[in-house]
Amino acid sequence: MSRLGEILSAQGKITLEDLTRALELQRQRGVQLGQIFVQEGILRPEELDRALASQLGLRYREKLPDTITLIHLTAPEARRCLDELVLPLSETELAVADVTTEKVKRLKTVFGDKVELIVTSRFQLLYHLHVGLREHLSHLSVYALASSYPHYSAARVIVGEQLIALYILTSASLFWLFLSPWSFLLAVNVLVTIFLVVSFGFKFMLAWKGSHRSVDMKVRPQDLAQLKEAELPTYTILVPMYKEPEVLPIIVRSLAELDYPKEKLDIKFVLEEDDHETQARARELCLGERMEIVVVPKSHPKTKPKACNYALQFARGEYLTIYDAEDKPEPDQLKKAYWVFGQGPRNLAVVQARLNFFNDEENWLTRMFTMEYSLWFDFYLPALERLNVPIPLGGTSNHFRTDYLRAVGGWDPFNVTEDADLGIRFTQFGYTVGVVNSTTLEEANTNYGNWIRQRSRWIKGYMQTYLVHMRAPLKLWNKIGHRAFFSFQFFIGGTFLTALVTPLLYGVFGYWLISGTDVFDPMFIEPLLYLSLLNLLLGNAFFIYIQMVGVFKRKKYHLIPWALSTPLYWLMLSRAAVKGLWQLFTNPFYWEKTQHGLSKMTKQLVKDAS
Amino acid sequence: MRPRIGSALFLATFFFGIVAAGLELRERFFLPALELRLWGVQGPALADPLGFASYLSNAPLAFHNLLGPLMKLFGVESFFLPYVLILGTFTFLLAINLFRVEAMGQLGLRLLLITLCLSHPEALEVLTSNPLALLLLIFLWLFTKGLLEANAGNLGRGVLLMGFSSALLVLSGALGIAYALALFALVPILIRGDLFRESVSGGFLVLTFPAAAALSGLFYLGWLYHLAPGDLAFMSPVTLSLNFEILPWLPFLPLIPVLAMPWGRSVMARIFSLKTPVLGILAYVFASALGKEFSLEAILGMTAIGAGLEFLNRQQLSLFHLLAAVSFSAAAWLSPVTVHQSPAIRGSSWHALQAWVRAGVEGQVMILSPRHTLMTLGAPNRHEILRPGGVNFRQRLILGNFQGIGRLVVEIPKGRAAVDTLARYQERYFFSPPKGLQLVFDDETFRVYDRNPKMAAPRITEGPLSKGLPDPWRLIRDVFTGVLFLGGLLVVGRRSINSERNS
Repeated sequence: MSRLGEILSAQGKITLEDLTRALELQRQRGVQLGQIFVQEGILRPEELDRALASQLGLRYREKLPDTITLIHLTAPEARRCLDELVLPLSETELAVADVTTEKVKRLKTVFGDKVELIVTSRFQLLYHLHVGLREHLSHLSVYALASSYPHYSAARVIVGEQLIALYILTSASLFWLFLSPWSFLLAVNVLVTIFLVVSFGFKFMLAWKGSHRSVDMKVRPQDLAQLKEAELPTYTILVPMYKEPEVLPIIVRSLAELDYPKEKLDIKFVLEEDDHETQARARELCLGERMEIVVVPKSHPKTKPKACNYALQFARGEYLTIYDAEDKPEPDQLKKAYWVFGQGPRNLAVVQARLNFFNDEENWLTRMFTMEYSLWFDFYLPALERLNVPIPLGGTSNHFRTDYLRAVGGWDPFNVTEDADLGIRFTQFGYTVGVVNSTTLEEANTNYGNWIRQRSRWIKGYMQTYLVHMRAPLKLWNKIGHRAFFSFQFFIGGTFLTALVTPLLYGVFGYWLISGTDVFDPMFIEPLLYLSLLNLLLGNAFFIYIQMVGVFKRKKYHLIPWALSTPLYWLMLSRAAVKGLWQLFTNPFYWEKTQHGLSKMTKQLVKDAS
Repeated sequence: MRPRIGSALFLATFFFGIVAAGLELRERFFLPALELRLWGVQGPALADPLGFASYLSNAPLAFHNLLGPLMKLFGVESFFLPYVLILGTFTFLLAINLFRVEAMGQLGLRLLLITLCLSHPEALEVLTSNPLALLLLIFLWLFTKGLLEANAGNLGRGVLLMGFSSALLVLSGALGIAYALALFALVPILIRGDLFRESVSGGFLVLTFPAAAALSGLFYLGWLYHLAPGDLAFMSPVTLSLNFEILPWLPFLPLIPVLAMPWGRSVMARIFSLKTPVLGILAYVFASALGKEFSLEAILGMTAIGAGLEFLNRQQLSLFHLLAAVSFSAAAWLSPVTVHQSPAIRGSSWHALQAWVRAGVEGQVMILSPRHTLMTLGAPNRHEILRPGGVNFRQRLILGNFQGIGRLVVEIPKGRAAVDTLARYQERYFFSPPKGLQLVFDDETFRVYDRNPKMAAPRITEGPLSKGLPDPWRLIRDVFTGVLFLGGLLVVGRRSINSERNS
């Protein structure tokens, strides 16, 4: 069999210099020679496919017929088609993309000589797989988790046992309230106060642990220098988008700047079927061979996790990550994440990169948001990792082992904070979640209404996550251990509970301060009063202070004075929490879309990228 | 700082803190009596009027024999000797450790210098003269550790530690506040990196916020419980009055750049680029807090240290710097300083007096300290008569001379009505007096007897080497101080000229 280089040289498609350079790159990157020719722009993909067909003695077909039907395929067969990138054209013909000698041998072993292998382009093959398996894959993307692991699905907001417990609790509370209102209110106050005190202590510990320098030194430049490009695995990058064509150039540019062999990137723009604007923009930008467009069929619920589940079925990478459309990840993030996977335990399933904002200076909201994110991602999450407890993943830049992700059922399309849920679910399955000291910059919300929509969705999602994983509290305790259970209560449960009770407590305090009333005295018996005072004085001050300290790792010192306005931000959080709670009952799966591209900085970035 | 050294420091601090606390408790019971013994007071004359007979029987008399020579050696009174020894050892240990790290080239000499500042008699007095020494020790450890963390590149954790330490410090009272302010002024020089270059207001805010929050919390609690802040835990009674003088300093530093941006920022940046004036302010704050009759030489010495710091900040470690630092520190050590002791008491007499002041009752207060009781044996003119609310009264509060109160006699000439006013105002202390408080009441005279066993009287002392020196030796000391001071200036000046030439 002739070599590919010889064939292409003979055809005059490449020069000797091209071949020499490509061979050198092949040695460095450990990929197929043909991929390098395409990636370097020496060959067009179809030219490579033709040459490969010629090399392997196979037929090449540029365009596959539109009459192909795949309805008869079973689920495992469909999975195999996606994994192998093959497509049955008829009983005797099998279209195949990304051919290699090994792949052809393997397929011939499986199918024998009766089936003819026909080489085609990846684009053609994927297009027909999309079309042919559309209903099947769409169904899987919505119901895979609900059918495989129904107890982890948020498709049901509250299960029967929870309803019964809620009913008993509510009845008993009302009964108690009726019999002895003040003692009931006192009991509630005791619970809330103790919860807040412990929550304060827990957050203090997290801040303390997260402030240690070692959490920022997890992957050092010298560690990355040890990585050999030839050994790097294929990495899938999903970019789910919905009606945000204007920011597309930002992510395209960021992806182009990634320090990772381009041949090993499997980039997929995940677009909704009815999002014609973004689709058109993506085509306009000629995203090329290595950036695929996955169009998600219209179905309910229309959520990001569902879109990601759909795209996950086409993922070819050993590892997978997600970026939002306006994301600017650090160029070496994939390598860092891979290094962390290599150093971590075998059951390390996902690594969360840090998130922060590029438009922190824009207005008050972006400043507060930046401080909040800095604290969350730079202090809290690394501390959670240190404690070996569940980490709620952030919206983007979470790096998965693809097979582990599939093993736990992918994202929950009914959960509107599917990332947070997934972090906890991984722990329940016995996997661990880590963090990596690499940052992705995003666009902070600049608009109050947009922020409330986004935050109410997050808080609703936290409520969903809490309800899902607390369906069997004792089982959860046994599975993840007391420390992780405790952390789950205060980090997930505490987040929305605090947001809900804060305005009530402020209200009581404010009313008492202004009116001097003694009506609340029965609720504040002496020891409880001291705890409440601790919360009021120490707790509030601490949380403001920690916001100030949160920006230190990023040296955004100019934000420090703004931390004084944190209580105002808490009230906004409470407003969003109330909305989230309301939606949990009225419209639990509704995805409050966050509109991107509103920032002046984003517009500038788009301009630069374009 | 290396973890082992940090841990050693922590353990040392912790250990000494525990010892200090234990000693403090012990002091409360038998040392005053021992002190009285040293003055030659014996038998019923000692025990009966003050009620220490039961404690005396337990006093370790062997310790007493050692006390006299040690007191003379260290130039401190017996009551404070254990603290001086312990904290002296601690600061020495700290200095040695820092010096070791410095010698390894990991830290700036500034840290060594600040340690020397902390071991200065004034600072040591603050630490040793107060029952809150444990709190101050924890502060010292937290602050130093925070500083080391910050300079080792762990700024977030360093600032956390320094912030918490500042909150603790202000809770320790007015001296703590003064000390905190002094340190806040120093922080821009001490912390490496670009925190203060990038945001002066942010830098100060992050360090002062915990302290401000702690103070606000105390004032809120005071308001809530109708108490003076001095009634609350950790607050020295002296704090109450001193706070009002020192509080304006707290918002001063962060507010200037915030309110007057951008020129305020540039002014602050300019000031901090000079640094030495900041040290002058620092010295003033120190001296103001430590006594009204502060020593000009001390301020000059501290300002000179500032000049030294300014150069040290920019240069590598060298013998010149070390010499300069040692000279300045020695000069500051030697310069005569007036120090007013301010051990806190939480005696009920203080509460009674406070209530009385707030009630605006006219009358006369006679303060009879145990020292006065003693002095009446041979010097009966040591009692003081003050009018509450009057200038003298305030001054005495500010000077912190009430800590030695052993017995308070309040005479109210206006009769029952005034007493009722007073009683309503602080009924807690008058109708349910705490243990140790005796209440004598009749139509004409209202008497509160407090038998607080802590018997430290206000006193004046000087730097240890100058204590009790005869006149010719004082001259020698002053000359020596001057030589050291000028020598330090010379060293810094020469270094400055050299560095200018080189640049």
